[in-house]
Amino acid sequence: MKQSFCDQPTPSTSRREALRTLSAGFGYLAFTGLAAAEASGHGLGPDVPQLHFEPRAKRVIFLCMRGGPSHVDTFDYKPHLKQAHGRPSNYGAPWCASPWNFHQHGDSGMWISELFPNLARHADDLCLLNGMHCDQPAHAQAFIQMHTGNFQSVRPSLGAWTLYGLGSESQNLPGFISINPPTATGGAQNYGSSFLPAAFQGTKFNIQDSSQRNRRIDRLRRGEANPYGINNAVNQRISRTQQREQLNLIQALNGEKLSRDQHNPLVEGAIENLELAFRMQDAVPRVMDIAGETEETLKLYGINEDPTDGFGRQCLIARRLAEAGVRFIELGHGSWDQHSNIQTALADNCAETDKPIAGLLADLKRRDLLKDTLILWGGEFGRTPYSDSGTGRDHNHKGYTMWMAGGGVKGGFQYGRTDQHGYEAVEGKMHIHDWHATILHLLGLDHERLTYLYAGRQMRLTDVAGSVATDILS
Amino acid sequence: MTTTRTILLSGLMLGCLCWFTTSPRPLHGQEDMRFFESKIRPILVKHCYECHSNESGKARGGLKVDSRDALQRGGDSGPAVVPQSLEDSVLYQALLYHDNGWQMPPKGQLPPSVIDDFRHWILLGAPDPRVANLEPDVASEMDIEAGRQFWAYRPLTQVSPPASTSDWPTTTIDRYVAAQLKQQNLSPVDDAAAEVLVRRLYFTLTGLPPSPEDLKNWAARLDTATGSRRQSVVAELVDRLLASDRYGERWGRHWLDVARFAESTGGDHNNIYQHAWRYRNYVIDAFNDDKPFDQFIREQIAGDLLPIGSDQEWANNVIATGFLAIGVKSVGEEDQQRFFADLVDEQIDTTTRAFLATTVACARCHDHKFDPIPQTDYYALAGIFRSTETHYGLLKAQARQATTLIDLTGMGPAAGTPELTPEAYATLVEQRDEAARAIEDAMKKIRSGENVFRGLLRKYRSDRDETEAALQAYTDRGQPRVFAMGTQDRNDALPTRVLVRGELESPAQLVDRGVLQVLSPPNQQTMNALMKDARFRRNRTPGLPSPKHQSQSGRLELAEWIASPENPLTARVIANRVWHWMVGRGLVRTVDDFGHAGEAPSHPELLDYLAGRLIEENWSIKALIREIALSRTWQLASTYQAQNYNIDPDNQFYWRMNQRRLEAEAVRDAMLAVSARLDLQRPQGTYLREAGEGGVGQNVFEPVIRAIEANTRSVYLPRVRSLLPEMLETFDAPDASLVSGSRDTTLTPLQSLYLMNNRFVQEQAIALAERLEGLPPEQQVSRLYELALARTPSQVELQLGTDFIQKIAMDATPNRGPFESNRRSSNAASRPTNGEESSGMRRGRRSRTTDSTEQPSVQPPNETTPMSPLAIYCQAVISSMEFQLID
Repeated sequence: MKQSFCDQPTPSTSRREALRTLSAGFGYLAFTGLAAAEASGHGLGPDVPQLHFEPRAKRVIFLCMRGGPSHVDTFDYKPHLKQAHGRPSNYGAPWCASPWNFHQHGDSGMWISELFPNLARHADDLCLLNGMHCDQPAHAQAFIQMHTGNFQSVRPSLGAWTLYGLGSESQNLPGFISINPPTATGGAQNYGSSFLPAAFQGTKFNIQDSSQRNRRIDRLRRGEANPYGINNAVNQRISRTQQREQLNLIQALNGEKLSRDQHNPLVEGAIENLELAFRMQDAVPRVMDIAGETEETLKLYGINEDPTDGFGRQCLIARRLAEAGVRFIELGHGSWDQHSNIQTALADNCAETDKPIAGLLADLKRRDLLKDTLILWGGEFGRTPYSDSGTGRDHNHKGYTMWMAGGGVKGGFQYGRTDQHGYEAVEGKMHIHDWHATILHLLGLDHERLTYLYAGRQMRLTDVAGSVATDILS
Repeated sequence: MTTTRTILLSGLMLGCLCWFTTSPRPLHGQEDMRFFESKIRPILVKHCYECHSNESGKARGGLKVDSRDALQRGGDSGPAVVPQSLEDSVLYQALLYHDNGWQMPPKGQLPPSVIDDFRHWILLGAPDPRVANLEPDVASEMDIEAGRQFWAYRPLTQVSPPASTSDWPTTTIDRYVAAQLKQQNLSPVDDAAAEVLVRRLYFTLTGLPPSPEDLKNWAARLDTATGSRRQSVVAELVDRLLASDRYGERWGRHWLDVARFAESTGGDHNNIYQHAWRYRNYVIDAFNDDKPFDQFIREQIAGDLLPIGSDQEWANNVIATGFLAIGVKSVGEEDQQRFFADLVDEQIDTTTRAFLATTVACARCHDHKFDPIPQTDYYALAGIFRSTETHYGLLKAQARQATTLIDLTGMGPAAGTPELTPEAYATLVEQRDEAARAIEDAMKKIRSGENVFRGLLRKYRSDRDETEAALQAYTDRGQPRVFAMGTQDRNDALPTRVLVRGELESPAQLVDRGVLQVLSPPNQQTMNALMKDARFRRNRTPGLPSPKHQSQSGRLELAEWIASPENPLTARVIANRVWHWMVGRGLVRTVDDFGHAGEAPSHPELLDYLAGRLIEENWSIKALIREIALSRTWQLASTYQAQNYNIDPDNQFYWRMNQRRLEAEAVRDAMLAVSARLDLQRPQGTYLREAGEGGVGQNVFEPVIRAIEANTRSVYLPRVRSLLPEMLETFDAPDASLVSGSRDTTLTPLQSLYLMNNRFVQEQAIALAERLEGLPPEQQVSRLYELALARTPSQVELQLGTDFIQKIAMDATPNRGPFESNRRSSNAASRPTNGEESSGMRRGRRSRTTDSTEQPSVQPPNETTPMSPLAIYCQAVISSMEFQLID
């Protein structure tokens, strides 16, 4: 972190600071204060007393397709590639047309590849961002940049900024949950809070594929799927009453430590986490228990079917978490990194996710939740429209596709485009910073004003860049 | 130099790896080429490309037949075509459809006339025009000379420390720090209290808390001494802690993070490395012995090539090269070339980041985006690692890319397995033979046209190989043999070409083996130039046969070049790492990246001073630790001070000591220490022995690994990639996919749940309570504070404690989750259980193998026993944040 001292600002007494002072000597109260802040509907952020704009979305579900899904085989129709197929490209390897057919869907006539037959029925809800681009064609860098805006230093993730800006609606669940995140490509950084208070960090859940076919072999390989998504959700040795008393004691001890140290974000974070953990013991099993869902709903998501069970469960849990007030939910699926074998591997990925995503959109819609839930889909970059081997595509960060749906974005809309081959974004270009700015805007936050004072600078998710793609706002 | 002994564990040795070499070949005329075009190529395209070509993206058996190189290089079974030798040409033999060999193409034998064409063609010398076209030379427009001006690549500077303007500094380090503090208008806080300093020293140097007796003794001595007398008490304690074996277990663990140590391949199949533990123990011992760091570098990169005085020494040096062998690998990769290129890439990445904090691997596909490292530098290093054979074991039936291990039996290193009884040995033989018979029967059926489930055949092969491997781990008298992972030089160096965009299919010019240009005089980066460089020769390894001695691969010279005091990065990088481990943050915060994408040093002169001191002290890490620990800077309190905080919230300038979170291993070890359950005995070998060979989820099952439990120090727990022990994973231990010199510090509700509900924590609390039983309540509280937090409780804390123990209700109704029916089985599978640590591991493993569809039998632990009020109290104290913090 390069520190600038020329314009050393005077730290203002933040709300957080105030809470800390008020509660000095008894850390447990600090949490009560924070919980009250939550209940009043305001964000936890110190300098974010209110929203900057009228919010169009209250929560985010990010369908994160790691590895770099091929745009020219899915959402970026390039008829020209067919003609160019096999001819040398300007980039060494020959052009490679998509082996899949595209068709027009919905009133909007949106072109979508045959790989997404179910999702295609929701074409009029989708807002395709065909002009995406980012800075690096390397997985880790691009993945981290997609999540934090910056791959050179550790920075708070998009989910952490969201939570910082809006606070949590749920007192019993973490406000930011990342399901099945990868351990590589930046690992915990991608859902971390960095310099933001630890309370805004994402919590990792694991949901296993438990389709009938896989269940037996899964139990052997990985042990019985943990029904709670997290470990240690139950305590069989002491009663809930005893545990509450024990927790009060721990908090009192933490409070003692905090008052001795005067300032200690680690202890503050621990205090908050303990309280949340205590309540999660009831809330997590409740939200993870899908036994009450109807057969029709399970079917909608492709649960208990191959090959959709794994991601179907994630999508259904995402809806349940959204209903429970979780602000930012990220789902993980991958890998979409098809350097070779794209014919089968990409088709498999799409088959695993198509029905669950379509199910999620349909289910949110009929529950009237889609209007204020922002759905994001995409990976860290796209893939090249040319291919050396003819059986796979390489990384392409210069032009690729992500999409949004729901809260505040135009449905059946295509924004931006790549060149005739799909190599580089040429119109309606949207850098990852712009993507971040637009997401925050939809949530009612101005990316230039959502700041946090750290190391002498007012830090932002978008650093010194980013502009809102106003064209896509509904 | 010692000859090496290697043993073939299973399968075939990898084929020849000479890609893109320009080996001499007979010249063929137009006629011969026409024969190939008309008779041979069409057949290959029609019958073979489907499974063996770039076009199909398949390389069954590691073989492609779509270029001359690929054919002659061959696949898993050796060269497909050997010009003029029908006997050695596997492809020709396969066409003949022998009963006991390959039969290709699989859909039916080709007509005799076609086979005859192939015979003719091979005897002609296998003329084949399909030579990979060379790309034009890759040129770089990088300005290396300008690159040399960057701070990290300039020689160490020795600026005399700033003169003190106050009496605050006690050591040279303090003078550098004080100068910066003054400049920033900061003033250091008070020195740390004696108890705080003692606990800080114990945890930082050994990763364990002081016993109450040690605490009392040292704190009293510190409290009664002042000035230089106090310093000598600190020095005495530091020396004592550095001399303890516990030191190596903590600091070795630091290095294991850097060396991305793990006991499985990760990647696509995540196969267990049964022998990686030797490298782990080597590292721990190296730290305990205070092996000079330059020697430590040379051993890890080129131990097998160093001059030696005995077999024992050679064995230890070979084990050190495990450093190069333990990385992530996708052992299911079909394409042998790609696998090899990725292996080399991983070695380049790890070596340059671990020792030079430089990301050379970024230059695999193009010039480095940020640093002055042209693509040719990458391939100069690749030439060195390509000329090296890496041995990491694994079984051929389970991992396409298996290799042999290095056999060190009889050379001194201890066995990692207990002796086998004659009965157990006989059982293994029987099991192997049974599997072999099953394979034979199945093959017979296949040949007679009967349908045999291929998965079953795979299982038999795997069983046979697994038992065969188990047998080979013993002499026929049941004495355990000694194997190690590591490296050996190839007989000849492999010429290496730049690959355009890093693509194997696009080779360009040949590159001489060499080192980084930016750290060499202009045009002096090649191995040959290095050998002529007087500065290089001055710092060569003592004991070489001659100063001109050169290793076949160039690996020895690379190691020497890195370990040289003339290399501006090496000493800086390790001095910075030591500072990071002592203080919680590096002088260069990005400890693994000293390039342009990293950060500049906060105290460049102090960094160079520390690097210089390290070299002066014969690269002694202990001496450097000692010097840092004796500085007043390090002995500052960690207290908050508002004015300083407003100027420097990150404590970049060290106006106080950083308060630090203990790493996962230290938290776990400390819990075991205070419960008096910690077993300080180093375990024999690895606990993974029980799990057996194979890929996680294929032959080795997660519940079996999760069930491994031991009360040894955490550094000895099994380290399977993406399957770390739960506590380590929950508390931010790295997954070891990459060099990781600095750990994440996350704070999550999952950690809180672990502390509240995990059986391990509860059991330590119960054991801890047992230690306190019989004492009056007040003494229970104060004894607990001494044990767990190394201090006496305040009046408030005393009151809180005694009240709690007396008033908490004895309530035996445990809380139940709503998934009552599921819970038991889920716990049974995911919770670890006691017992069977050292005994009966063969039994456990074999029983799984004989019936792999049976659910692993894991006894559900009795975890419903209510806890006493005292135990509940103990759990509260070890779950409080203070337990995890070093003040």
